[in-house]
Amino acid sequence: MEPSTFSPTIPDLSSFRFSLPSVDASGFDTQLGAAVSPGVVWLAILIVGVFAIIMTFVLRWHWTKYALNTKTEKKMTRIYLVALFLFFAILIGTALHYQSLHTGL
Amino acid sequence: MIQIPRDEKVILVLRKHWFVLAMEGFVFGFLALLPLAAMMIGGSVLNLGFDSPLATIVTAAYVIWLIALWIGFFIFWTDYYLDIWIITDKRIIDIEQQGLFSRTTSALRHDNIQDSTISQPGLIASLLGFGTIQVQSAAADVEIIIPYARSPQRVKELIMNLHDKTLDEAQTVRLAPEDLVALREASDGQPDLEELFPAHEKRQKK
Repeated sequence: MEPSTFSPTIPDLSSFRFSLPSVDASGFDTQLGAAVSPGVVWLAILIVGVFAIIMTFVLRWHWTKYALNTKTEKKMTRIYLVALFLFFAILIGTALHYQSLHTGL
Repeated sequence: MIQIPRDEKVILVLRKHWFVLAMEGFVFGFLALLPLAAMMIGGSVLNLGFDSPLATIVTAAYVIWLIALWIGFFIFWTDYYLDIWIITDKRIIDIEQQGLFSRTTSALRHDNIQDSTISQPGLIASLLGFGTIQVQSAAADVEIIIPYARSPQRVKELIMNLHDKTLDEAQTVRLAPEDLVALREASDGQPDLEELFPAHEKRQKK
């Protein structure tokens, strides 16, 4: 019986690199920028702002009316409002950035 | 604010264990980070920087999502914080916040307590020391359930001690001074009140 000549080739894994597929979305990006005006973004921010103000009043009413511990109520109010203002600051900054991009399109 | 009568002493105020809040916070945190991961992957797939309209709109949508999650977490925290069980020297008050616009308050007097049970299901409950306390009254449909209570065994012992103390006090007759005066006046020809109420007279002298 002849000796086997089968010799499997082990692939060189050191050069293997996982990479995500790349999709060209520049066309869609430009169309989206032209279709969505900054007014839409500002309207969305306004709606979210009104909702946030209403919910803030509702939550504060509960905390002041029913909470036993005013120290906890004040601490949580501070945390809640600081984070909320931060989010809205980022949102308004993003909207202003989009407005500057839109005028440049 | 909850109004407790002046002659009633608050012994313990109970809320659910912090584990409940932590688990919900974990869920909210996961929901906050998931779109961020998707945005990072999407950004590398689409090769778009922050200067593109699509990336800016997606960022704005993500911040709106974070605002909604933040408010949602605080609605949950309000519900958690306003679910309170107050144990006084006279009764157990159960205040349950259901959503934002519904609240139920019930009370169970210590002398009406029939039985109490505690359960600590699972490894986490045993390790962290929380469980469910169920307090049943003499009436079949009245009971107070305290889920996720911290140190349930100690709370149960406290409740049963207060129950025993209330029953002991109910067997002691107490007279107000004006009643005593009226009794003295009415006891014309009757045995002396010191003989009838020796313990009370001694307390008065003290």
